[in-house]
Amino acid sequence: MSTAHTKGTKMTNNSNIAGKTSLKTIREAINDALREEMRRDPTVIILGEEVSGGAGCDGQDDAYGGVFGITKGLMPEFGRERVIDTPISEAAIIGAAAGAANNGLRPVAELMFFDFIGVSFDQIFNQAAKFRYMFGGKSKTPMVIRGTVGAGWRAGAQHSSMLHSIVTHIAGLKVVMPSNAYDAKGLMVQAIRDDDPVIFLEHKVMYDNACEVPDEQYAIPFGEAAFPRQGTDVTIVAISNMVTHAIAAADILAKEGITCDVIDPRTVSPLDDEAILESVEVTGRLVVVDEGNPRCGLASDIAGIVAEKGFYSLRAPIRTVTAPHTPVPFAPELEDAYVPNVDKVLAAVREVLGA
Amino acid sequence: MINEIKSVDMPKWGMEMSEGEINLWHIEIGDQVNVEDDLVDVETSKIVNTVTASDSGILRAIVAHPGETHRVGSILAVLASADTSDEDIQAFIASHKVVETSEGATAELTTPEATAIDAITTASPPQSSSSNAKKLAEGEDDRHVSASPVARRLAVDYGVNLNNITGTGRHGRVSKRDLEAAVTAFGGRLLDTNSAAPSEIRYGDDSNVKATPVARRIAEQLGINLLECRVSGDRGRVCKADVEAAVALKNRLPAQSTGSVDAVLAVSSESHAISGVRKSIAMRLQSSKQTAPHYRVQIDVELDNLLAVRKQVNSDNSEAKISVNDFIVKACASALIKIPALNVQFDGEQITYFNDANISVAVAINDGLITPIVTQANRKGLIAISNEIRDLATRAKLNRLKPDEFQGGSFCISNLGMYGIKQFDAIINPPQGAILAVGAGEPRSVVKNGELAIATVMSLTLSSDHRIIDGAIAAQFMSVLKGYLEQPAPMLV
Repeated sequence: MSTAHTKGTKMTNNSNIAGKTSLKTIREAINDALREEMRRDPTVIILGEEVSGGAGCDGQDDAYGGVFGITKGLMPEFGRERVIDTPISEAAIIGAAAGAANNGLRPVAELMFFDFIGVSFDQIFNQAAKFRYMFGGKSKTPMVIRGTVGAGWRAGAQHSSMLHSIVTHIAGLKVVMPSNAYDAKGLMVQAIRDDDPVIFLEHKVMYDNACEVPDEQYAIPFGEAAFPRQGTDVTIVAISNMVTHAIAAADILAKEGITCDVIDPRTVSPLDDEAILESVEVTGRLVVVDEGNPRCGLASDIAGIVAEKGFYSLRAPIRTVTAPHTPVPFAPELEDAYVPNVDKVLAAVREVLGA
Repeated sequence: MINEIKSVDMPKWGMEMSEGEINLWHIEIGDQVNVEDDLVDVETSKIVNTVTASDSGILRAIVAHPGETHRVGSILAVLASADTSDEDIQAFIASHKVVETSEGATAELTTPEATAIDAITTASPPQSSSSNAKKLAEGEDDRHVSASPVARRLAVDYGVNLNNITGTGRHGRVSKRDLEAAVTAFGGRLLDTNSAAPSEIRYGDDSNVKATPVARRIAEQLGINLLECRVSGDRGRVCKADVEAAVALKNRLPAQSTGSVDAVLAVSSESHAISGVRKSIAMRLQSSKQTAPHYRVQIDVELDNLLAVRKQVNSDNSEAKISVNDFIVKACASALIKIPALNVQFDGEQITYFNDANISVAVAINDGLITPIVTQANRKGLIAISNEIRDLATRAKLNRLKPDEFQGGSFCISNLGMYGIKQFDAIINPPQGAILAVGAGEPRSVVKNGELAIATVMSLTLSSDHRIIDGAIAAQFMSVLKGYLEQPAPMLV
């Protein structure tokens, strides 16, 4: 950052933002990132089901821009050659993207609901994730797989899962889970420019969350956490939409004089374990909030890292706040009870504080 | 076997052993050694054990000599065949030592935690390092330096400018470890981050911070910088609640002077091991409080009659210098004979009753207190008691009491009246059953026959062990004691 920018510099998370900003939703921020990268680099293409809408039907072009409207406006600007509506076959989407990536393109493939990963899983973990490794570094696979995750949309068990732990487990994949529009844009830019397969998971209830986002293009490096709240009493690690709840809980506790170090890893693979361990060295207390299922999940992974590497800093048992170990229920009341919320975070923090 | 050189190394006996001291070699240079032979006795912090040979050969060199301490794994001696040259043996020893030192160096490099812990626990006065501290503190605005929040907070605590720190964390980010390494390298001492109070952060101009008008106004009134507020208002603005949260947070932080390496260095205190006397007092009184259920009864005693008698006795007899305390000892002795349930010792199982009142009197000495005993105080006159107490107290202060002069006793008196103490509770001196705490005699208003009057009054408090002495007994004793002190004549006969 040059000194010319110092004036008017604001701190959002741990990043300096300079220049002109506008209030943008996560939806708009991702759309921005895609458009700017497609303008900058002609090898960037988009493929997926209904990413432009109206394929083969006159007058319906760009009707939706994907079912979530993320790719709206891209087909009219870049044409059907670069914004490709595919048949309904996830195996075909991911297979085509992996092959294209191997041959010099930078595809951004959309899985719509990340729950559909199952039918394309071999293409992801046995092919894309392993090309660079098995070809001794002679091949690279610069592809992005976008998908929506999370409950809260009354979408039922097959359209609401948090499957990030499954992909985090696989060596060779990078897994990104933004919690706000600023991060979504910077991380998407980095994901497209990255030479390895990146899984980019968007929480569907957050699409309309807005914050100030720079108009200029910027990339956020992977593996660097954000620190939306700082404190010394307890460390709260949260990811994706759970960051919203963690921040809300921290703000409630701040009024009681309890300060929380809220850490948003932003990318769960690579994970900024250094920042988490450092924070726990000071606070001695850890709460991990994750919407995924508890077994073999991200929360237990982070708890395990801290238990192993930061044990002597701990002054209380680690607490994890997760969904129960069940599929996401369809009944609205049950779905609301299923997802971790502010009250559950508050209860966990009070427990580790011994209150 | 031929030409093979073997080392005898310091063994590791158990997890905690890091080094051992050489006591005694069982063999001499030139001796033939067979497997399992006793070689050398080594003393650790826990045991003395004998190192046995795991190879055979002739003992060619002893590297570790009696009295020296060596680390686990370091070379103690060399076994080799007779025809190995001395140069080879020396070269072997030299190569071994190089390995040891380089291993040591690597260990230090790879475990910065270890050095950090050393730095924290070192009690030695730190070297003056103000110039070093200044070097770390100087530099331009470091806000743009990539640093973890923990490192940035600590930098403020240590007064360190982040421009001077080389970041080795994520993507060159300055980590807590980097900062602490720099502080130690410049001769500073590390703060205990676990207990360190959160530091006050210096904030800059907040005029560019987006805030609601109300938030900006109250922030100004309350002296809050908008940069220290979270941003939870709509359109990314600091709202009123954010400022209030910042105030709540601030009220909770203890005021702290802006730290610097020098300020961190200036902490000072002294520690002493406690003396044997203090240790024994600590042990006995702690055990008393833990095992004997204490309860107290208190009574006020009018002293005017007693003071008149004392004046008369002292003026009649030029030898006598009887104090109020002497009267109290005599009165207690008489009361103990009347209420024998209090004149006891208790060892937890058996109660021992005494026919005479052996009264311990607490005397403050240089490093604690001691309780010399007036034996058979019930049989002695006031002058005898007075002289005995004076003698005992004098010798106690000179540390010249014989054990049987302060061990035993069936009752104890502790008098703090001379310090103007009105009333206090004493801890029972085991194995005794009760102790009397004596306050100051002072003029107080009293009601006599429905009218206000002035009398010299003293408060007495009896602590008793409820396992063997019930409340009614203690009360009876106090009432008899009050009688003797208010009307001294009967006990003097």
